[in-house]
Amino acid sequence: MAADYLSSLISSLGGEQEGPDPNRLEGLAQMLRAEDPDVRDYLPRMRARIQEALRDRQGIYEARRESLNAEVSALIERNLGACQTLEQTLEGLIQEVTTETREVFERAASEFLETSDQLAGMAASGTPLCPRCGSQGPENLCPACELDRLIPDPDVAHMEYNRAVVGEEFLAVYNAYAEVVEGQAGLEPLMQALQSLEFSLLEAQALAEQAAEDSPPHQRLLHVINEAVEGVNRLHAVQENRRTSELHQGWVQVFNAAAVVPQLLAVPEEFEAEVEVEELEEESE
Amino acid sequence: MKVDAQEIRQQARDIAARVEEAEPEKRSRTFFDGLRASRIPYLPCELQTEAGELYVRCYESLFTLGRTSIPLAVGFTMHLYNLSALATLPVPGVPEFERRRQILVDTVGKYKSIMAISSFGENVKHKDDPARNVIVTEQKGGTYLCQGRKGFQSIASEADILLFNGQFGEHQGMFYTNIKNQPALVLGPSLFAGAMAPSDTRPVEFRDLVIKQRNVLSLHNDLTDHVSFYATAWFEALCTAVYLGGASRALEEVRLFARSVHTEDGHTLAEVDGFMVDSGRLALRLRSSLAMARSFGVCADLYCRLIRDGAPAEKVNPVANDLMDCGSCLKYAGTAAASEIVAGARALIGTRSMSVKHPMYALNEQICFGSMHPTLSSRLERSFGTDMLGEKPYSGLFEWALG
Repeated sequence: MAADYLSSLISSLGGEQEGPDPNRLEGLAQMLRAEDPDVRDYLPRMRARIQEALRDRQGIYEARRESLNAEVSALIERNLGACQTLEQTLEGLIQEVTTETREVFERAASEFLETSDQLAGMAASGTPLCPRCGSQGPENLCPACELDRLIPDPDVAHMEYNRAVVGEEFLAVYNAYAEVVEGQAGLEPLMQALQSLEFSLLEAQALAEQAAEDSPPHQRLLHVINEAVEGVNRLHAVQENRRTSELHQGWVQVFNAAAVVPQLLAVPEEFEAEVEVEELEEESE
Repeated sequence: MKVDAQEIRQQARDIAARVEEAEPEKRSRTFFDGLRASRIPYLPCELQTEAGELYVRCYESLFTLGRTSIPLAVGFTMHLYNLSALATLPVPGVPEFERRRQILVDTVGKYKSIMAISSFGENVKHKDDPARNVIVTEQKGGTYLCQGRKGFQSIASEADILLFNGQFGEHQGMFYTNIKNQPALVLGPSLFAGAMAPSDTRPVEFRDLVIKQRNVLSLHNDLTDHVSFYATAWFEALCTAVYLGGASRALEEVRLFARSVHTEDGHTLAEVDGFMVDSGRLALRLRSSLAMARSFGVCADLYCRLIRDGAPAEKVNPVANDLMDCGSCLKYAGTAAASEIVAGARALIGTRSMSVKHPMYALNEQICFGSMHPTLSSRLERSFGTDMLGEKPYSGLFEWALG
């Protein structure tokens, strides 16, 4: 679904704090209600943040609104509407704080936070959603989009991109993985690509095992291959556990082996896909 | 390791029932979706050291599926016989083959894949035409280029993995590749129209398919023949189950007919002695063939055990020959019986069996394909005749079973 939309949403919400926090909508509302004179210092900053959030979310939503299902679409539109009202009332409040404007602001803030919570809740609920339209239901495949429903990964925003030159079978897995994540394809093409890669990895594993007994470089290689096989297993297990986070973590493990395995397989250069792919890697690493 | 026979039986029955209920254009999808969700296609992965048990479970499943659709079940036989042969036949002397067959069998089970087989080139051709087959040549860096054509490729659109043989220099090699989304493999039009069309049998062109070392199972006649002969025996035994399943369905149609049609004196046909005798003769043909069926599993079990135990060639070879003969005998007798049963059923039911919507209509067309599968009956007759008329005294006894 709108994973980018949700990550933008999550990143814009701060953590719980003691007392009115002027960096949060509820804190600002409390200060307005208490007629705290310091509130004026925070209104322009909040308006700028709301403007930015509105722009980002509107852009992401417009790009995908055609594919989203009606329920998710309605929720996002409520959220965007509240965001827009907030932006307008903040502008009014900067000019002059009136009871009427404050009440409109409070209602919009409440609507914004409620819909934001609902959207974030969808991402964190552990319920598989269609990666394209956001629908949920008892079937593994979304009937409208024919894509596999997956449990969203709320931590996807904390990942970064890396680059490496990889072999064609790794590239095929990456492309299939990326299409799943982007809601372009289901799991079946990924499983096909994984199977080809696993054939090669298991062959390499067997060769490395034979050579590893008295050869530290082969022992290292065997370790890398085993890691990749484990990554393949994690990706494969997504068919059962439906977790996008496992999809990401599995790919990270596969990617880490991608640059090393072809050396053992001695794939000739003319069949090596000299291409760059981007790796999603955890920020903490 | 044992599998729950009741569970497998029920899965086959459920699939057959769903296929029966499905609209004609959705039957193939219903069939393969049902299979992939069941344990049946992956029984060989579970029963690698239990050839006898594996055979029995596969045979019964194919019989049940054949009662509903011969062409779909025949297509599925291609997967089941190959995987069964690869899973159960150890070749301890060729560790590379051992490793690759094990990887292939394990990953087929893991990814719930369906395997197709292209073992035959175009055997039927004009005498002046060059033989058309797949030619495999080694390239720099241990990759292999595959070019040519295979004439018959069942479940061509459904399969994930294609097992094929090809001419490698002076030898027949054995290889595999992924078939889906493979632009170097071009499927031709369906070869069979009408009632056999669901077998999805097509020619396949190999247009510069490049495979890797790990896709090579064999590059030598000895190994290729060893595996192929064993696999062919599995095919002959298992495909018989499909056609006998079709014959069984024909008898069920006779039963339904006989119990619903009355004579002028108010009796049902099922109560008429002549009808009963004619029907019984057909039922006996079916039961006789089914009674023979188990022999293959017993022989396959013995053969695989001898190989695993490293038994000497003089002990293994006679069993290997008998295993081949077992498969051939089952197919020869079973497919002939199936044809006779369907013809007999048609005669008993009469003209209503020629109605397009009657299950007998498709069966009439499908049942004759049984004897056309390899090994052809005429070839078997010549081979068995040669053996019988040889220099040694002939008894025909299967010594491992009855001697």
